[in-house]
Amino acid sequence: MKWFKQLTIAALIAVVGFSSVPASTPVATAASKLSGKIVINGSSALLPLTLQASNEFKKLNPKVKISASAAGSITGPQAVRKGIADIGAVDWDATKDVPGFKKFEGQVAHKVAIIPFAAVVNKNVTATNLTTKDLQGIFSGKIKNWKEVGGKDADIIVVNRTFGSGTRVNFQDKALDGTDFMSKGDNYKEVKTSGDMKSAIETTPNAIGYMDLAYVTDKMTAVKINDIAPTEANVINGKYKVWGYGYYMTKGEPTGATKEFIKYVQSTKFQNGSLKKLKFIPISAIK
Amino acid sequence: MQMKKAMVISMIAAAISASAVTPVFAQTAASKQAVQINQSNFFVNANPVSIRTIVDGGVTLASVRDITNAIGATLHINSDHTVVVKFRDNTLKLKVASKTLTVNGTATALQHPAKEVAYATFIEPAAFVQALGGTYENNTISVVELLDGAEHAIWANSSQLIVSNSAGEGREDFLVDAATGKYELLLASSDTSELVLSPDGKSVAYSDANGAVFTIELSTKQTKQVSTDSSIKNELQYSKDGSSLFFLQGDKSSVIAKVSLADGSVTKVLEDKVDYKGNLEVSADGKQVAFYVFKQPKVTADSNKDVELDDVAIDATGTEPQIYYYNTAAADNKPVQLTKDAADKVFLKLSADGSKVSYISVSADEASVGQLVTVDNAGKASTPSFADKDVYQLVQGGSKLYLLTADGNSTNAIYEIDSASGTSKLVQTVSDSASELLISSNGDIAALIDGQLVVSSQGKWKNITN
Repeated sequence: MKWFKQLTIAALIAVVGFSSVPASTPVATAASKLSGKIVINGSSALLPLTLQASNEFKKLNPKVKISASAAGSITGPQAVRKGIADIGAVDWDATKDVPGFKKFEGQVAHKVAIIPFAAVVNKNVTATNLTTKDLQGIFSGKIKNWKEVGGKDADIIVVNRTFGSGTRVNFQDKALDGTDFMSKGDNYKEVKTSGDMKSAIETTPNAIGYMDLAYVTDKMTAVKINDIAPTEANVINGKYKVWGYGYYMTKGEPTGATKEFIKYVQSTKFQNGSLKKLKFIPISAIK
Repeated sequence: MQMKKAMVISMIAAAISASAVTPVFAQTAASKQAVQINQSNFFVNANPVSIRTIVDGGVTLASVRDITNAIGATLHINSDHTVVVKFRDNTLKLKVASKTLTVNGTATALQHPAKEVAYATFIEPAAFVQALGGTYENNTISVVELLDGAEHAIWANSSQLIVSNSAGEGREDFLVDAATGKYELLLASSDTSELVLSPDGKSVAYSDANGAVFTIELSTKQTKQVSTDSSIKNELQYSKDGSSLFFLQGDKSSVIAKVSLADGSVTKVLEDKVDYKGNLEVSADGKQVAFYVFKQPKVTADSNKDVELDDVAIDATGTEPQIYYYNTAAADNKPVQLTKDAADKVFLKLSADGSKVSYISVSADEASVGQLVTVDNAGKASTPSFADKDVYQLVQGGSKLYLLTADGNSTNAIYEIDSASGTSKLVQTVSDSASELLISSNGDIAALIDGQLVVSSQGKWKNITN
C-alpha cells in the first residue's frame, strides 16, 4: 500500500477551525497507514467519476472508507459548509457567485474534470440540429411544438433539472446564454438527478432535456447546437461551447485522506485513463 | 517518457569457479611474486561471461579489458600508459599502481591500487563498473538502462512484466525483463484502459475511450481490433478459456457483459438494474461471477428552501459495500447477496470453481484493521484468517492466494496460502513502503515500492525500474 503519514490532531484542528466537526478524521493506526473516511456529496454528473476513482483509490488505500452520494451540485458545497461532507462535488466554481447562487466563503475549489453537456431528445424527435435561439425558445416555453423548429407536429415536452443542479447552471449559462427557464405548464416537468433525466428522456416521446455527455445513451439523441455536435473533440477544438469544469469543494485546504483522494483524481493516470473512458475530458486538455 | 540513464545491478547469484589458473609474475612487484590469473564466471546483463581475475593482497581484481569488452566499452592506452575507457557518456582514466580513478575529469579514490599482470590491467570490479554507470555485486554486472518509474505493473510471464507509466497526455506500456530490467515499448496510447493479460500470457487486451476493444500479441506486438461496440467498459478481464472478455458495462457499471474475441459480439451476463458494481470476478467456467455493489447514501435536500440554510442531510445507514454472487445458470438476473456486515470490503477473489469468495474486510471502527475473510457462495462466512495480522492486500497467483500484511516497524510480510489445503507460509518480507504486490501465475513475486518496480530473486529484492 502507498502509506502516508497521518496528520497530527493539532494540524487537523488548525485546518478545520472551531466551527464544526469534520466528517472525516484521518486515523493514526499502529502502522501509520493512511486511513479515515471521506464523505462526498453533490453533483450527479460527477458521481460516476467519483465512484470509479473511489474504487481505484481504495485498492491503493484499503483503510480509507469513501461514501459518495448525489442530490445536485448545490448540495455539495452546502454539505461541506454544514460539516457533513468532506468534498462537495459541483459543476461550477462555488467560490464565485454564479446566477442563482452566492459564493461559498472559506471553501477551496479543486478542478477535477471538464464536463461536456448535451441537449438531448427522445428517439422519436426528428429535429436534431437546433440553434441557440431554438433552445432559448423551447426551454422558456415560447416554442411549444416541434414543427416550429423543423420537426414533426407534436407538442414539446420540456424536462428540466431542479434548482440547484450544476448541469442546469451550465446549460442555462452556455446553451441558453442566460435565458430563463419556464417553470410550469402541462408539458413541463422537473427531475432531481442526471439519472432521472436519462430515464425521462428515454421514455417520454417528444421530450427534450439536457445532461452531461457521459449520461447520453443510444436510446436518445444528443442534438447538434448551431450545427456543432456535442463531442469531446469539438469541446477541445473550441467549436462546442456547452461545457464546464467539475470541481471538488473543500473547507479550506484538504488534508489527510481527502487530500490524497483529490490528488488521485487529478493524477495523470486517472485523468488519462478512467476519466476519459467515462466520457469526461481531462482538465489539462483545455489550456 | 524520460528515460533515466542510470543502471542497476542484476542480483543473480553467480557461482564463482576457476576454470583455468595461470601462474605468472607481477612485473610491478618489488620482488617478483607468482600471481595466479583465474578465469572466473561473471554475469553481464544476465549473460554468463568469463573474465580474468587475480587476488592481490586478499582483494579480487578483475581484468579491465575483459570487463570493457563484455559491456561494449572502448579501451585505449595512451603513450604515458594511462588506460582510458569510454562507455556512453563516461570517460575513465587510470594508471597501474595508482589508487586514483578519474571519472569524467574528477578523481575518485580506489581502496586497492590497479595492478598489471601479464600485460593486463586489473582493478576492483565494483568501483570500475560503478564509475562507468553500471552496478556490480557478486560477479554480476549490469549496465542495462532501466525504465524510469513504474506506476502500474502486471506479470506477463515468469520472465517479463508489463509496466505502465503516464506519458504526456497518455500512457506508455513496456515489456520489462524480470532478470535485467531491459525493456521495450509495447503500446503508447492516449485514452486506453489498463492492459489485461490473457490466461495463456500471450496477449493483452484493452478498451479505448470509444469503448472499442483491442488485443495485442506480445510476441509480435501486433494490435487487432476485436469489437466496435461503443458502450463504456470497466474492469475488462479475460475468460479463463481466453475466448471472451468480461466487463462492467456503462458509466454506472450496471450490467455485467462479455465481448467475444471471435466476432466482437457483446452478450449481457447480468442485468439486474443495480448501479455501481465493482471488482468483477469470474469463475474458471465463465458461468459464475462475484462483485461488490456500492450503494449511495440517501440525501435529503429541499431545493425550495434558501440555500443559505444548508437544508441538506446525508443518511449513510446500510450503504456499506456488499458482495454479491450470481450463477448464470439461474438466468433470473437475481444475484445472491453474500455479505451484510458494516465492514468495508476490498480485493475480492472468486475461487476458480466459484464455490467461495475471499476478500479483505476492513473493520468499520477507527482502527480499520484488515482481515482475510472467506465466504461461500451461499453466504456462509468462515472465521477470519490471519486475525492477528493487519492484512493490506490480497492477490491471486495461479491456484494460490498471497497476502501482504503488517510485520515489523519498517517491513511488511508476504504470505502464501494454498487454496486447496488452506495452509499458509511466510514467503518473504518487503519494505512497508510497498504500494502493491504483484504475483505471476507461477508464483513469481514483484512489488511496487515508491514508484519503482522490484522483483524477488532468490530471497532478495532487485530493482528493475528506477
